[in-house]
Amino acid sequence: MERLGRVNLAVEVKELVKVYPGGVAAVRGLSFVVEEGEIYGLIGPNGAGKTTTLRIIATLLKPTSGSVRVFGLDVVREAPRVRRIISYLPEEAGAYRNLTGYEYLSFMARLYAASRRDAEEMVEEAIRISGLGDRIHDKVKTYSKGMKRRLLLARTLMVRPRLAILDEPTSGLDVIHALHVRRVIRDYARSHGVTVLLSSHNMLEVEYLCSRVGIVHQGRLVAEGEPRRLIEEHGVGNLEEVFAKVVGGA
Amino acid sequence: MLRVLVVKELKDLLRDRKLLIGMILAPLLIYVAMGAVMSFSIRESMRAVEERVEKGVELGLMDLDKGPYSTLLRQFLERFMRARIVEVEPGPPSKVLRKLIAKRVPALLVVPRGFSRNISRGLRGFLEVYVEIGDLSISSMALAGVYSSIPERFSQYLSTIIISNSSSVNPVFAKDPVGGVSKALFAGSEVDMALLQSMMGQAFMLPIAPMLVVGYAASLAAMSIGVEKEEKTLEVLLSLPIGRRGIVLAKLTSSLAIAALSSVSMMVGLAYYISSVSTSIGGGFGTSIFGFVGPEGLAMFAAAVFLSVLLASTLGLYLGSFGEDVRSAQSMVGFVWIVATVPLYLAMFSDLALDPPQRLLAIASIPFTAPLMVLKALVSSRLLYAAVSMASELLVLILVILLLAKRFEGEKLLVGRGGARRRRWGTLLVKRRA
Ligand SMILES: Nc1ncnc2c1ncn2[C@@H]1O[C@H](COP(=O)(O)OP(=O)(O)O)[C@@H](O)[C@H]1O
Ligand SMILES: [Mg+2]
Repeated sequence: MERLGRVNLAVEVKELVKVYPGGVAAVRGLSFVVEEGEIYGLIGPNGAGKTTTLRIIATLLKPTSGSVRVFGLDVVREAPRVRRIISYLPEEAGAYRNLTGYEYLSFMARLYAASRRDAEEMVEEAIRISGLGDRIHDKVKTYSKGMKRRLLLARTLMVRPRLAILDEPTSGLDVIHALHVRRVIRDYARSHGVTVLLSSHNMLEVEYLCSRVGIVHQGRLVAEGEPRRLIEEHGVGNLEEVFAKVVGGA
Repeated sequence: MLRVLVVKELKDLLRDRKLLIGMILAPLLIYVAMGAVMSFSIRESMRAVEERVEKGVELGLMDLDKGPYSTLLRQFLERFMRARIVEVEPGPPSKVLRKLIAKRVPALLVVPRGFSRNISRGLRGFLEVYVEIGDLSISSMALAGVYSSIPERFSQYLSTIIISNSSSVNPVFAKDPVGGVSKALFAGSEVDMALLQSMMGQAFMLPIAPMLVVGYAASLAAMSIGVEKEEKTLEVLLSLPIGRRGIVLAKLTSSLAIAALSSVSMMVGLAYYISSVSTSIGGGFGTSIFGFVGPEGLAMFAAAVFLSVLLASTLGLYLGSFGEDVRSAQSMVGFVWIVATVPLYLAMFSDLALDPPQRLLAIASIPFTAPLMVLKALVSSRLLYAAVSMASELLVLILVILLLAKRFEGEKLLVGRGGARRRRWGTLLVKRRA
């Protein structure tokens, strides 16, 4: 039972430290786990170390010390295998300007799919997720910020990763686009059993989305738990107030 | 997998109009325009030269033979070339020509001793032509061409006489009974005619397009990595289930494809240039220089251009990866490009026949000189320099590919090493250029 339980961890971050070459200590001993099938949110103010942590889990950065496992695979030693089961949506990501949305999705699908048919299915699904309709055949450079984000989210989810890593999926979007994105993440995770690890500095949106959250401050985890439970435990109205209380005023 | 990546690169790149113009259209148009201008000005100056020939050319004659065929030559010159002949006393030809030049006679024809005796015995006779080249203009080259064609023209004239007078002569002799040697006096010293013509025709005009394309390829490759950072597509790309080597390989393969397209388009332009120039020149003058660059020559030149463009792309990708956006990526390349043009100018003005071999080998082994060196080596048939410059360029290419592979490993591309310091240096460069 014990062994099986550990393998079912989607993400296991242990004593993670990241010091950038310039000397900035972005993450200072962070530990948390994400269980398979849940939507886990890392929340915290700008500069807390969320992006750095997600980039390490996505195999893009190397930890200074500590370890990170994704479904039991070490993100440093087994990076190529990790890349096959994750899908990463970076903060402020873009798509190739001169391609159409459709071409962008097919390019990505063919990197993941075993056959042409699978790729076509992925693209069809992505078009549906994105909700871009006919605009999918326009060049990416004609898209608004919200449309681009929807395209990128669709490409992240269409490949049916075991773990989707979403960095600030709604930051900078207007209400309509943000609502669409949130709904897609929740529906997709539920219907396909995809584990989602996301970050946000918007503490209110994670109340809606996440089954559990970890509050990060200056590279450390300062609180963790189900949003409603955290709010109750601290006797406050919402997660923002929880944050203010744990960090100590300010 | 690689194919999918390459197709994406090509689609994204080839839809860029700037690229199409710079890499495919420009090299073609440059040569076509150059060919048009050259053949126009050649035709114009040939006409001017012909007008002058109609009025009659002036010519010094040093007759060391004093036989029947030198008399025939004199009659030929006066009747068919309307030559005004100035008789000169025997002496060292270049000294004599200098004296003639002072009297505004630009050429000297020497008939050596035994000229008539040779021809009457059925042996080939030789004439020597000494011409002054005033400057490297097309008209002065064309006029010099008229003088240096005298032996050939006389040979044709004599050939008809010999053939109509007797039927028992050696046909090889009868077809071309007179040969000639032409020497040019340029800026006070004696030079080979063919070399002068090549200096004028190729060394100055032809390198323009390869230099342009090589520079453009470097900035294009820098752009291809710069744009991944600027448009924030790099992070996704690096998180995909593709090896880093695959990413580098895809970028290089697509650069290679574009380089090939660009080389082909340059070759089409070059072939047009050569054919239009040599047809407007016509027989006699000048065809010999273009004869040097045959199909094999063109292929070798294409290979050198291709190698240089590939090296430029690889280097551009490597240097560009240190920038944070398109502008800073390109300024990294631009900076290096300015430094790299110095050896290019050295190569352009070097003389494979006269410069010391050590210096030529040193210049040949500097990257990016290959297209120029190959062109020059072909014209002067000194292929060693072409081989050396291509080999050294290949070596540098391998080195840069290794550096590039290392650069794409790990997190260097996303983080950079000296973060803050490099950023300041980058913006400094951009500001200074702006
Ligand atoms: N490439 C980098 N080089 C140096 N420092 C960095 C780099 N990226 C981020 N940082 C620093 O690391 C800290 C954490 O940043 P980040 O992980 O982006 O936080 P968050 O995503 O929570 O806003 C910040 O102080 C930031 O300035
Ligand atoms: Mg962030």
